[in-house]
Amino acid sequence: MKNRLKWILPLALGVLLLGGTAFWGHSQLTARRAAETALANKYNLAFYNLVNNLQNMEVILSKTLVGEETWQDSQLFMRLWQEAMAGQGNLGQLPVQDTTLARSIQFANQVGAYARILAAQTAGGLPKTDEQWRTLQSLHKQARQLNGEMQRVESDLSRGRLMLSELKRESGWLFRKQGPQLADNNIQAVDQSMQQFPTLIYDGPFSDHLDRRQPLGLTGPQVNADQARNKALTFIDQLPKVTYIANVASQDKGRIPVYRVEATPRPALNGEMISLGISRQGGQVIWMINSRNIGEAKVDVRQAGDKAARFLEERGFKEMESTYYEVRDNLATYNFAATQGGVILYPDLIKVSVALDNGQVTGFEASSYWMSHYLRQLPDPVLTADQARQRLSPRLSEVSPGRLALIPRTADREVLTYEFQGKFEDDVFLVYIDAVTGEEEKLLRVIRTNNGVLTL
Amino acid sequence: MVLPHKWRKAVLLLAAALLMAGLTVWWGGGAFGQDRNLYWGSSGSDVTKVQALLNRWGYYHGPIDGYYSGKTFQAVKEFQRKNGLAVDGVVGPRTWAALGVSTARKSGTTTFSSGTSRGVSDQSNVYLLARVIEGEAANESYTGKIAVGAVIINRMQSGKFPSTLPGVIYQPHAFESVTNGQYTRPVTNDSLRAAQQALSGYDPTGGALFFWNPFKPVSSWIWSRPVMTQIGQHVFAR
Repeated sequence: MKNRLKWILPLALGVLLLGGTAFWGHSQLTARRAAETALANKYNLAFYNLVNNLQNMEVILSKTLVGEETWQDSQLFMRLWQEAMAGQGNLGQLPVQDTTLARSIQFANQVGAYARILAAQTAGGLPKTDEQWRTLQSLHKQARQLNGEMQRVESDLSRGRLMLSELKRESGWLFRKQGPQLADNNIQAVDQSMQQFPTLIYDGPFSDHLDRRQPLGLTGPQVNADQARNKALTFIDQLPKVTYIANVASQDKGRIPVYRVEATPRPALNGEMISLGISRQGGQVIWMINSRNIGEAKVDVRQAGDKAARFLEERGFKEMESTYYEVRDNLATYNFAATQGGVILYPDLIKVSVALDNGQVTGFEASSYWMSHYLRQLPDPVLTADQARQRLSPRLSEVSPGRLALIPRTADREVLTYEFQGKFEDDVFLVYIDAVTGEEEKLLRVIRTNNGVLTL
Repeated sequence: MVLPHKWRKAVLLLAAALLMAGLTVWWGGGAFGQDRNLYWGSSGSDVTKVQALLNRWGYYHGPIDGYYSGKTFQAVKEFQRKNGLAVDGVVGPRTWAALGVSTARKSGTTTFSSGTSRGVSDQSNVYLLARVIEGEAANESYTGKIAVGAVIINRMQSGKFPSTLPGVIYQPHAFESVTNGQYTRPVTNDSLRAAQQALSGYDPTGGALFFWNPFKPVSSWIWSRPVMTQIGQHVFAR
């Protein structure tokens, strides 16, 4: 009796533990399989949707090559735009390295952007030109290639020779057996087959020539590191009675080549460190970021806005106009646009950030300003402000008098417009009427939140 | 109490089994902290952070340059003395905690309130971007945080990546902190501000599409990209 008791208890405990572990393991395995299946299903959804998108893109592009009717073309380009956008979304969800499909995603984005431009043009009654037809032909060739390659991957997937989810491989090392291969390599081959095609240049976003744009606003000689350091010290918003010293931290090879200068107070104060990008050509400040902590707000948004405007004025940016602002955790960021002869130039934007604890300017961003700012030859408006006003929807109320504004139409083209602000129900809108043709060029809705004013 | 020999064996086995189970759970659930020990001779953004904090509280008056030398050493010792820590001049886990770094993430977080007019705003984008910045660059300088945010914005606009913010962030394998779930940590005010500034166009990288930590193993392919700059622990490239 005594002898039996001796081993029954540990045995029972052991069996219990083993049983518990087995049950736990089994439920883990089941949960894991369910999660894997759910994930694989998501990937498959993206993939099969993509196959449809690519097929539709190919078919629509071929139709645009033979269609003659302009309104018909307009419909086709709308649908092409939709399919291309859905296609790039699905391409971005396939479980491969983020660069594997870069060329294919770029292709889908470019087709989408090009289709949108042609949709707008043909909806306005202007037929596609011969040159545009040739671009469409080249796009169709690429679409056929991409579609064909993806169909091959699809057929392997459907027959179970390939799978998309990478999870199975990692979990399957214990029970390894001959099974389907991962689709990574096949998908990579699809993208490589796209790389043989020439780059696409058109007047729109994602065009290949935009990468090589030069800053229009930067002229003058190359500056050396010492000049960059001095520029930084005269530019930063120095706190009173604090001495700053500056060092060149690196020479950066960005879109605008800059010296990165770091300015710190001596002795150190409040963790303050100010980084600046100073262009090597012309020695202009491209951006400035102050890393210091920001305390409780003691300056209100209006005072800070005045401070931002004064900061620009003192640094030689004359005739800048404040447009909208945003506040985030006691940091207010103001947008300013350049003006030329009273015309507001929306492509030439500068952002100035002001810390609301003591009103110091802690941020400055002018890369879009230096990329696009130059003395423009503005066209003379054909319409008067009143004539342009007649073109507005009669449903808008409390309409502003209107003023001239230059807005970007595409990446390369700007258009002179009249800007009107008006209200519909409780929403505020900005309407832009082409000052030459009288067409409604653009509509923006103004969003006012607790955090500021922005436009969508 | 003396247990019979066989019992002792059983108890030992049971203890071993429990230990194993405990270890399994620990391995499964453990996320390793990112803060490392700092001592005389250390350098990098962690040191900058310590210098900035000690400066703010009046312990340190030297340059905030990221080099752990005599002045930093003295300041750390002074801080440890005042805070009842072992005075060894080494920033270990206890000193990090006393500096408020491991707890700062919690106490410094913002509860997210939406004060929007008619439900339209960019709040969700700011918050999503801030979470990835927190996941990828929690220990970087403020400039380094904006730089990481700028890479995500640049990807959106490049055409070679998905064209929406969530599309870029949730692209499989694009960001380590999204893949391993680290980005779900609560965000700090710093990250929120950095996200806002990146969204409004600040870009200290000058147009980078990639970033990586050169001290961590990365695919050799990534080094074939044209490097533009290094900010803190991150290399930025096109």
